[in-house]
Amino acid sequence: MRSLPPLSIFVFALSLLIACSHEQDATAGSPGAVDVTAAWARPSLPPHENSAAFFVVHNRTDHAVQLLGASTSRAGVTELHHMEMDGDRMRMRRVPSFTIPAHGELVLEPGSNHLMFFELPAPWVDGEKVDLHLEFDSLPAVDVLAEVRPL
Amino acid sequence: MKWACLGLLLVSLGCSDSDAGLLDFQGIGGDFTLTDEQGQKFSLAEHRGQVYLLFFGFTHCPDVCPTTLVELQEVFQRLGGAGQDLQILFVSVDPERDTPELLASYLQPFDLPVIGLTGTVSQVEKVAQAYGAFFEKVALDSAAVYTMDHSTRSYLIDGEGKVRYIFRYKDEPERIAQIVRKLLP
Repeated sequence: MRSLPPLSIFVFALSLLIACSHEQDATAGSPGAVDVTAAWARPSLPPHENSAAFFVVHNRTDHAVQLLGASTSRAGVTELHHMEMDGDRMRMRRVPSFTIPAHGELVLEPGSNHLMFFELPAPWVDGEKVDLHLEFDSLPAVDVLAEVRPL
Repeated sequence: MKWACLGLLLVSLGCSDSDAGLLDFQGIGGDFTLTDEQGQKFSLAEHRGQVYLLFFGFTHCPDVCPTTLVELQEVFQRLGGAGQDLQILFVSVDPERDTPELLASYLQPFDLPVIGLTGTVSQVEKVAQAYGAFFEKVALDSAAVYTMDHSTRSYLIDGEGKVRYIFRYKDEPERIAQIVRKLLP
C-alpha cells in the first residue's frame, strides 16, 4: 500500500480540525450565545435555611433556550421557583425550567422568577460573592458570581 | 344600576372621608390573642392607645415577607421621630414551623419595632378570617416541602383596635407613611 504524501496528511488534519471546530459551534454555539448579567443574591435570614438569587439571561441565538437547572457550592439544593401575585395573594411554585425566547431575555427578580437555595452550610452575608452554575438545554453551562446585597 | 354599584362601593369602603384618607371598615378586624416571639401572650385588647400595622407572613417565605419588612424600614425612615408610636405585628400563617424562638431570630436582623405573633393553626385561622385575609398550605415537590399561599395586605389599626386602612403589597413606603402619620400624635 502506498503511503500518503505529507501534504495529504496535513490537509486531512486541517479538515479534521475544521470539522471539530464546526461541530463545537453546532452544539455549543458561538461564545456569548447566552449571557448572564446583573447577578445578585439576597442575604440569608435566620435560621439561615434558604436564600434566593436573581439575574438576567440574554439569549442571542435564533432558537429558544431552556434554563434547566442550577447549582452552587454554597447550598445543598438549588431549585427554580416562580412567584406570582393572584390579586393580593402570593403564590410560589417550583418549576422544571425557564424559557429564554430567541433573541430575548429572561429576568429573575424579587416578586417573580428566582433561584431558590436550601441547605445552606453557612449564612450568606452582604458583600460576599456566591458562585452560580447554570445549565441550559442546548448550550454549555454558564458560571457567574452573584454578589450578596440587601433586598 | 351605576349608582347602585357606586353606593355599594361606598358602603363596602365604609367611606367616612372626614379624616382625609383614613377609613372605617365594617366587619373587618377586631381583637385577638396570640403568642409573641418571647413566648408571652399578646392580646390586642390590652394595648389600647397603640397604633399597629399588622400583616401576615411566614419565616420560610422567600420573597414577599423579607421585601415587606425592608419596605417597612423605609416607612419608619420617612416617619422619623413620629415612628416611635407605631409598632408592626407580623402574624405567622405557618404556626406549625414558626415557633416563638424562630420568629425572634428571623425578625432580629430588621431594624424595626416588630412583634412576631404565632399560635395554634386554628387561632391564626380565626385572626385571618376576622381580617379578611387568606392563607393555604400547599405541598411542593421541593426541599421547601410546603409553602403557604397567603394574602399580602397590611392593616393599619388605631388606638381603639379598629382597622383604619388596608394597604396593598405594591403600595409605596411614602404613601404608607403619609397615611400612617394621620394616626400618630
